Amino acid sequence: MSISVHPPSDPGGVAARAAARTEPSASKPFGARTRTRLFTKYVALFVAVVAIALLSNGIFEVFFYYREHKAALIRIQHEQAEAAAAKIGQFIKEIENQLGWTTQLPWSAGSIEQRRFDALRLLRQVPAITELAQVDSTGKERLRVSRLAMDVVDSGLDLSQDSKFSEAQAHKVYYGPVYFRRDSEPYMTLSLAGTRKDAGVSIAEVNLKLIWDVVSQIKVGEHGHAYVVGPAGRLIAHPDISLVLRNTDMSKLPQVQAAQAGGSDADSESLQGAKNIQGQEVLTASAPIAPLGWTMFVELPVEEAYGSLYAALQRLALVLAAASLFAVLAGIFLARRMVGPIQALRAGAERIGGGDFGQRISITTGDELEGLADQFNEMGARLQESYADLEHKVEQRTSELKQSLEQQTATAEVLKVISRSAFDLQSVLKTLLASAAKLCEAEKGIIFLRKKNSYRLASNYGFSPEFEAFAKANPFPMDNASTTTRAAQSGGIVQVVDVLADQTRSALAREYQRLGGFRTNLGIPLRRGGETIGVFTLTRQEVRAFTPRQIELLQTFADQAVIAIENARLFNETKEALERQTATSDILNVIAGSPTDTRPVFEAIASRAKSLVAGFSSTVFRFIDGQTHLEAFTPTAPEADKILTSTFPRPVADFAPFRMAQSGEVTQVPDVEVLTDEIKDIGRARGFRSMLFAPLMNKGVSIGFIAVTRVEAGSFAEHHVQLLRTFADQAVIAIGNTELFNEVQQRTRELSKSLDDLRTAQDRLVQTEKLASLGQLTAGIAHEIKNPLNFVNNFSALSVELLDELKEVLESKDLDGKVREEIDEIAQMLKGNLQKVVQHGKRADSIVKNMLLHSREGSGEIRPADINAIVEESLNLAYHGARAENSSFNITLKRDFDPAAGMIELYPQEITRVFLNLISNGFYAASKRKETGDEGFEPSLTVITKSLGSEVEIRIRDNGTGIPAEVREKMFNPFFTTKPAGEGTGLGLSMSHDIVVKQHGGKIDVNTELGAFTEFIISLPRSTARTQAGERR
Amino acid sequence: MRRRKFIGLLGSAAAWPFGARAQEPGRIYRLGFLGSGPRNNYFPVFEPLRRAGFIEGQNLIVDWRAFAQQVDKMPELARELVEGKPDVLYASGDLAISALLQVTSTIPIVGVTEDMAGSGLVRSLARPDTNLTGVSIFSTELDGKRQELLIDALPGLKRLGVLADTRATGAPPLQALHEAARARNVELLVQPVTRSEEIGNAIEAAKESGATALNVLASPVFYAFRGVIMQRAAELRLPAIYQFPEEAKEGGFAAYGPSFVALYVDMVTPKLVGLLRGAKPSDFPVEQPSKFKLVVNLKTAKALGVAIPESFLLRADEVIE
Repeated sequence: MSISVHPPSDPGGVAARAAARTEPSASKPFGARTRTRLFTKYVALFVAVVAIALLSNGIFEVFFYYREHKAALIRIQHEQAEAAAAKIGQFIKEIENQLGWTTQLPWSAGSIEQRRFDALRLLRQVPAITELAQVDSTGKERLRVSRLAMDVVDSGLDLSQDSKFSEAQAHKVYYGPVYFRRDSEPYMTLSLAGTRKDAGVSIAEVNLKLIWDVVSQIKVGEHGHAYVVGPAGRLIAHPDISLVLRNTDMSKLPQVQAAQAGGSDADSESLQGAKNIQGQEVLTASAPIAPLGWTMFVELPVEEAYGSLYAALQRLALVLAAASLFAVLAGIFLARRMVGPIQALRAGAERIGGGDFGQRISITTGDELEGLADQFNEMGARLQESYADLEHKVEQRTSELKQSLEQQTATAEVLKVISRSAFDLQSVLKTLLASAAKLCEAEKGIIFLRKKNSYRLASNYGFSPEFEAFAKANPFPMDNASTTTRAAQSGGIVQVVDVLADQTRSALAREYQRLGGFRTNLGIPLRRGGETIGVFTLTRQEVRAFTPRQIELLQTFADQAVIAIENARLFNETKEALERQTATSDILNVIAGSPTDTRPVFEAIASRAKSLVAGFSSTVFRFIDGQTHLEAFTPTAPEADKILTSTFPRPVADFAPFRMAQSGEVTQVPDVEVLTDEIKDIGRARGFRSMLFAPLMNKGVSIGFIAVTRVEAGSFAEHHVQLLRTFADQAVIAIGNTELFNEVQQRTRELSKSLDDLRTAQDRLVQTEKLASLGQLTAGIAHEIKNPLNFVNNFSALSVELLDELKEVLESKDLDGKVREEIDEIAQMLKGNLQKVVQHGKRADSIVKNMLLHSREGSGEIRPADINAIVEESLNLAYHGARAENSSFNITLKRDFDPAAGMIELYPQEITRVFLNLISNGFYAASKRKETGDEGFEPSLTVITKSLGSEVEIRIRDNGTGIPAEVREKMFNPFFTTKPAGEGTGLGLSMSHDIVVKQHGGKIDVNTELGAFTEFIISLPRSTARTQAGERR
Repeated sequence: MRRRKFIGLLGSAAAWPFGARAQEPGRIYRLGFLGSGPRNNYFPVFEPLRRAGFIEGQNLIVDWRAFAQQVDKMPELARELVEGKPDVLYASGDLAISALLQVTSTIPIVGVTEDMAGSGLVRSLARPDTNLTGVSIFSTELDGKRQELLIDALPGLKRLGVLADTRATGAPPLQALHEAARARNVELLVQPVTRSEEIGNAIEAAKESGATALNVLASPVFYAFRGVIMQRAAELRLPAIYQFPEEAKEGGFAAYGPSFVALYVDMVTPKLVGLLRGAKPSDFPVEQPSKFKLVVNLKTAKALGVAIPESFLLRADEVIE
């Protein structure tokens, strides 16, 4: 068999080429998909057939094997359980037998000692018996021996009613229920009666723990084990002795329940895996232990029981896998043989379908497939023939389409250019002309645009430069004497097939024709809103009319041109407006940024003016007193800038444009080279040729001007001139604003300063006035009172002495007792009165002295003193003073002196007075709070000094009653006191204030909270006391 | 289906409480041991531990304290042990166990003592609910049994000396002993011992007061000093009965009780192993020995010049000749 797909015999054919192109992309994915489908179908079918057979066989085998295995397991387990049950039964039977010979003798026969000896021997032989009691036929316990307790003889215990005894008597043997000693070890009572009536009963307590020896010997498989459960479901014996000792209840386990319910013939289902007490899945079989009512259980872990079954299953799975693999391989082989020729047929058919009609399929399998291949080949040949005919027609149609496509493409191109460069009118017009000329088979073309009353060349295509220069210099007037103007005037399309034959044309038109050399021309007016704004003209060098289709196309181009022109106009207008706006807003920004200075404003004006006109440099000048001052300029080269700055200021009269600017005119210098003055030199130095001057007009007066330069010579564009003029007007407003703003600010500053000064002066005046009047008043009063007071004091003191003298005189006289007594009494009273006068007189004196001190400033001398020592001294003085006045006075003093407080220049005497005063006040406030009946209150006063560098701070703080707000306002006023009349002069704080503030230049502050504390804070400068005091003197 | 069951089975096998569990590799286990005498007394512990894979010097550190000579310092010893952060603790006797319970309620303790439930150390033998488990060895009950055996072995005995550790034996058991002796017409001469140094003097005192035999009551201290006791008893020609069968083999006159070796190999060590492997004390019910052996050393009897009745010898589980 041979299968091949021949390449086409004629490789030159178009069809073959097309097929070759399409073949790789089309056939591959399609071929791959098909192959997989058919191939897998065959393979899958084959595998299925083989695998089903294998699988069903395997499943049957497993099923039967499983059943047999299980049956065998059940049988073995049951046998094991029965054997184990027999062993346990035997164990008990053994004990029973051993017990038997202790009941052989009647009680009358042997001595107790002999019986005891026998019993002890029994214990030796049967380790499971822990205790053995022997009871005579009447039910009296005669002997009890034990492994643990001491032996008891003739305890006399009556057991005749006990089931241990009665049951044994009745049935010869009695198996007691299982019980747990100390809740831990399983025990059972085993009683046995002798064969003779008078032999009595032996009662043994059997420790069932010893069954462990039996149970742990029973081997069930590899990991299985046997255990014994009592009638109530309690575990009696288990290889894990802990479970037994823990008195485990097995009755919850399903296998135990089943065994106890169903008796011996537990069916195979009970063998199914169930959890054992340790949670392991096991197969369990049971057998009853006959006389005892116990059940023997034998369990084997499921894992082990079914181990061999799983192994067989694994083997089977392996065989199945191997067989399946073989089936797959065989399937692949067969499918490949079947699919091969079909594959070749499909590939061939696919190529023919793809257009490769030269394709021939060769299959030599000799069967139906070969016939099918031949028919395919024939079909290919027929298709090839008809295809060639069809192709020719297609080619014709294609060339037609191509032509129209080119036109479309060109139009689209033009549209693209228009939309891309809307603001660049020249390039749009050029593109339009070029495309139109090419499409309409015209050699040349012109677009004329109307300017006032003429049509001027705006763009051309294909004409010589001479023609262009001529046309630009000589626009068409608005006549009817040329194709262009005719089209413009009529507003319709005008075509002149042979221009030379047209005799109505003007001389100008003839000149155009002579220079351009065209024969046929076509004019299409460019119209906007019913108005002609230009003409689109195309020319041909030979006489050949434009076809209607070409004209139609040209109309489209003309419309596009109109749109483009309009767009460009709008764009430029917007752009200019925007530029003006931007310039203005920039200036405003600068003003806002530096309102106090005009220089940045001028600089901004200079730089904006330059960029507005697209100039080379710019300068801003101001006229001051007939001189021109340079205010700002845009820098160029440093040397050039230097020339500029060194030239100005200059009189306005020096330069003509300056004069013009001063008169408010906009002027320009198209070329500085034609000038003869210094401007020419500056121009050469800075490198410009033309200049534009715009005056800065403020309320009709020119205050300066802006000059903009350009590198090239020539006139400035009209819109530039306008722009600069507008800009200059705005700049003037900006300058005005700045100046105004500055003025207002300056004025405000001056005003607020004078207001402050005024206020200070006023305050000072009020304070001085107040203190001066008080001082005068005090001094005056003091002087006036001092003298009378002296009299009162002196004379009262004298009177006391006189009274003593009087007494002496009366002493010598012989007076009757009663009279003498009366005289003495009166003298005593007088003396008392006088003493009161003296006392209060002295107080008045001290008030007066204080007042005088107050009015007289700066007593003692100024000298450096240790402030801490002064504070300490004041504190001691005040404390002892207070104690002297009132012996019950008590207060806690706290000191916190800063060692850095050190020396201060001050009047020690005066400062001591201040401290004494403040401390005494504190004592007063604290003791007053104590008096008001606060039980737990502890009066205390704290004095703190603290160095603050150039100052020292002293804080005197008491925890007294505090100062109300209304008192705080007035407390530094002279004569203001809150103490009851007669206790204070009202001068203490006022004086302290004066001493601290006026004499020492310090500060006194108070910090208080009502009912909590009062704190006076005194700050004293270290060394300014002298100068302050000096000034005051 | 089968496979799922099989996997389930594997899971349940992994959750098996102890037994199958092995030591964690690289871990060092610590055992705090509060025994009465020198550590070779406790060889039946260390051999099985070694077999279970706990090898001293490799993965096991045994913090050893012997208290027989310093009973007063029991609380300190207990504290030292607990400060060593052991995984499991062992203690002999009520006193040692109580001392450990005073200082820890979390570290598992295996104790060997007279009667765990009776002394209130655990609430239930079947389910200990604290950090303590262990073995109850009926020593007080057996003290009576031993007295009975000694009287049976020495017919005509009039005065029986009793060596009593005041810390191990209280007044009520002594009273019971007195009563039992009176029933057999034997006078009990109790020699209380508080400190180990007093043992020798106590035996002499018993001899001086006329005792012709000696019942060495159960006490971890006496077991630790059994060599001294046997030597003194031999010197003073006093047949004595001891707590553990092994003591008779070592030269004691007689002994009755559970085998010391079996006790530690079969009951104590499995618990230590289980607890070291992380089981909870409550997994182990308190065990009691159920096999007791009477051993009589005829060599010693001969040396002491004591004749033992044939009937008594027949009762012995083992006779050393």
